Amino acid sequence: MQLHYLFRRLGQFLVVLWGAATLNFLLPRLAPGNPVRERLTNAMAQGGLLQEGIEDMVRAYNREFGLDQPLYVQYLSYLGHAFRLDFGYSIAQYPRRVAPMIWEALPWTIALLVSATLIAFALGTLLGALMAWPRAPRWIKWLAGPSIAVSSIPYFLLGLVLVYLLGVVFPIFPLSGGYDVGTMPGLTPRFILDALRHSLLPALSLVVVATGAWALHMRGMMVTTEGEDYTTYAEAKGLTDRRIFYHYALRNAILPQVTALALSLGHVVSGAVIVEKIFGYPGVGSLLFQAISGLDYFLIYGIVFMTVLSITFATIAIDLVYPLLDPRIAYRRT
Amino acid sequence: MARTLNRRQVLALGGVSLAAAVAACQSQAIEVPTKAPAASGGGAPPPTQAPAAGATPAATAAAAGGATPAAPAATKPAAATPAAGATVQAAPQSVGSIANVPREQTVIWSVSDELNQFADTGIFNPFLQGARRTGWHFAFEPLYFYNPYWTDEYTAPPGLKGAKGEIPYQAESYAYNADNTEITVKLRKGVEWSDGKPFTSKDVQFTLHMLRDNAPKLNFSTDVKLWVKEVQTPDDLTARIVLNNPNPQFFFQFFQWHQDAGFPIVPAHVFQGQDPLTFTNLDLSKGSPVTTGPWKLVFASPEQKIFDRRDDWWGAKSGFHALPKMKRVVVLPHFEDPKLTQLLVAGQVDSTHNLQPSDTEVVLSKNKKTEVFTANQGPPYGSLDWWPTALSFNDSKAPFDDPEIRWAINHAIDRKQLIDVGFRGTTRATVLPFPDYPAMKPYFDAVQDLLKAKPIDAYDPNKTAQIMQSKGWQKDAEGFWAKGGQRFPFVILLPPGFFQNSAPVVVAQLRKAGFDASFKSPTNAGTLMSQGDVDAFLQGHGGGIRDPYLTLIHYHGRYYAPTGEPAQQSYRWRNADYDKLVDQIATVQPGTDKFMQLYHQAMEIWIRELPDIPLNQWYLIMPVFTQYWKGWPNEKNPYTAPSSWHRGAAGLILQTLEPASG
Repeated sequence: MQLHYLFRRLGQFLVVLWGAATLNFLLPRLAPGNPVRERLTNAMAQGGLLQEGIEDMVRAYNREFGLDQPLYVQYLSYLGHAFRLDFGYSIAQYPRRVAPMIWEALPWTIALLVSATLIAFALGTLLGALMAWPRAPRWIKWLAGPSIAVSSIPYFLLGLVLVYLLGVVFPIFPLSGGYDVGTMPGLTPRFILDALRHSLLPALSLVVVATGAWALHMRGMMVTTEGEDYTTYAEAKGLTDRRIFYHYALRNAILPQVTALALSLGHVVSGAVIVEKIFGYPGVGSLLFQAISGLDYFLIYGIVFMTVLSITFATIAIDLVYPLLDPRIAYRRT
Repeated sequence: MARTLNRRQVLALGGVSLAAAVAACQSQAIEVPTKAPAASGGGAPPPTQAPAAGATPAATAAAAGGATPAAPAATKPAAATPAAGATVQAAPQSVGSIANVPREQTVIWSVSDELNQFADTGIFNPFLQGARRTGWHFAFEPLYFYNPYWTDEYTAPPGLKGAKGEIPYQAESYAYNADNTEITVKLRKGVEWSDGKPFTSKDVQFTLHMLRDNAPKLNFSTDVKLWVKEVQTPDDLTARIVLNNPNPQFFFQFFQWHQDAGFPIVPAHVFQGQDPLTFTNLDLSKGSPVTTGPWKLVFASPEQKIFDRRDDWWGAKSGFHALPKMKRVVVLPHFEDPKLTQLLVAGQVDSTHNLQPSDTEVVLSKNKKTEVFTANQGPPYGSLDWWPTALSFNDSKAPFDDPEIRWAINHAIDRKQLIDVGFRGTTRATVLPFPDYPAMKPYFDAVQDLLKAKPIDAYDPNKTAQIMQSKGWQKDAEGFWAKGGQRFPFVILLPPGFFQNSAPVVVAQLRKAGFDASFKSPTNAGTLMSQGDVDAFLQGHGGGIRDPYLTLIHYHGRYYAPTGEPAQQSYRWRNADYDKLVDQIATVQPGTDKFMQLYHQAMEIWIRELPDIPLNQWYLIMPVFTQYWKGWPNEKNPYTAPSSWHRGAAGLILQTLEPASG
């Protein structure tokens, strides 16, 4: 029974992956233009490339990248690449390959977005739980209004405001970038501090907005669990507030939060695009932006497929881990 | 009871599969990069991970592609390639520990091309398609520099010799034979590669032969294949370039670096045996890139490239020139204008890519230790670029195929208003598609009689109306020219990122004259222009700066292609007489009477036909930070422009800068 469920779930996983991969293949192709020619003609327009034979070069590289093949042939070879997680050469940065480019950008994104997401989750969940807790300090309840306001602001707008306030008006933080000009990346205290300083502003915009949203969701869940009979029973038994809060209300209210957390961790890369763009932060988001503006098909494929993979993995993982958190879930019934 | 057990089972399964997934991902992380060299080998059997890489379509495509363009490419040994592929992978690259260099001994500049992040950290081969202008352009050196601002009094910065704009560098002299089919280049004695090997005529020969034999995939390869028959090396310091056809422009065009024109000689002993189509010339741990310049790449990441001074540079050893004064050059990517402005205001960079006049004013007022090119620190602020702009058309498409219609449009353009409003007075109008450098003045003077007969700068909407009506166009109810119920089509295409300030003015003027004009700036502007799916476009001409020839060929009929087929120059204008004249000009040494006479004849056709409408000269405004470094090029000392991304500028600037204190 259990194994059956597992296989069905894995089957779904593969179908979702295939569907997403197909969309991923087709969408960039809908954009007009040939990536090789766009790059070369733009370089010509900027004066960086003054030579004869641009069209011959375009044809030669179209052949090299297989862009002169019928679409279905390209699609099949793309599926093969996706299966092996190797998307070949970058068109814009030939002869660099896609995979190392992503691996190089990934640590920045993970450091910024995963930590921001986790901080926001922890803060928001605790805050939301307290907001709904009758015996919490009064001032916490006043936070409900501001959290609604803040959570409805798109984080990139807040980001722009923060850049203006803390970068331009009061230049406390650097405007953009991952580390200072002339600093050498490495595991030195100087570099780590510098990188931290640069990540604070983007992290802040993410954390502030997300904390509000987590808090609101959590508050709603807490209100429900507080009304449940077992909470009333626990109170009637005379258990300590602390115990009721953590073991009865919070424990049960947190379940949907964890699902949401897993999903939002899966979305880290896709959410990174705008933040990294605004703050000029090196990472997968910036890389994806660069790839899209340069129509670098293979790089787009690589990054988006990785994103799809992480989201579907997160979903399936949460499905499998769920019983740990909620023993009531029995797989024979689903 | 059963339920708990089930739960554990599921957890265990989930845990195991998760662990497996994680493990799979991690093994992938290591495997993917190492697989790469095998795939790029194009035929070389991958050593161990054979199953995946050997069969990839990319690998077969690479092999096929490598073999198609020119037969010799296929004979290049594939065995060397894996090494080349491996260097591509490891980035950020750095060698050993990098010393800290104080800010006052460092030059920091932001160059062109990619915004925010370098896209070429793994490449130091200027001929690869993926190469950008991010450091090779001063790590390599030219045979000659060419200073477009030269006058009879001034050519080279202090410490270098030059005349008539030509500044000999790796070479000492060059000479054409009588019919301009051979160029004999005398190389300077004592020039050395960074690995200590001498720079010889064999390197010149190797570079040109490599390009000739690998057309069209390498940058400049089609040009070289078109012109170069072979290179002879009578001795180590003499290279004789034998051309297929007479070309008195060849040496200037490719070996006298100016702005973005020209290419370097690469070391034969390093490139030999490599696959020129994928060899990246970058492996810091093995001392590569090997160049002749005083700069050694020590670090490259998407955020910055760091070059340290090489104190055993040939120039200092041989007494050619003192070592550059700075110990380090940090190259940053291009940034959006607000960030460039902020970096300059904060003194975090010494020079940047060009800025808008408004941002320049902010920089000058907020950071007193900045200056611009102009002596009075006022408009136009910048230095004349080689990019005079024009309103161009698909000249093969009705109604733009009629020269009279093009003249009608020209009469609708008020250049003075365009300069005042669109450029805030920071440039000048032009009626010819050439930059008006001092050296170009004779060519402007030579056609004054033609311009008097047919004045291009003649704003006159009445004439526009007159011509339009004579061609059967009538104004419709809304006052726009129309024929048979169809309005005059007039969508102007802009290359992304350009002309945002001036295009609205042009459009407003055209609308005032009755054209239903508009503009758009799509990301695929390049393809649309190349295939002729346009009415009109705004564009600059990077062409002749010493004489008009390199601009005149932009309009040559050999670039004509029917609408729908890609063409390298998008004018789609052809005139057999003009082509004949330009072909003749191509074989004549510029400046001679014959040259002037042919030029006059060609321009007579050009002005009569007006294939595009010249609008204004182009200025590049690059404020520089003077707290640490002085001696930047400026109006009084115009040895080049302060454009750090230009191969014709960067090396000269680094040689000339002096510490500001002491």
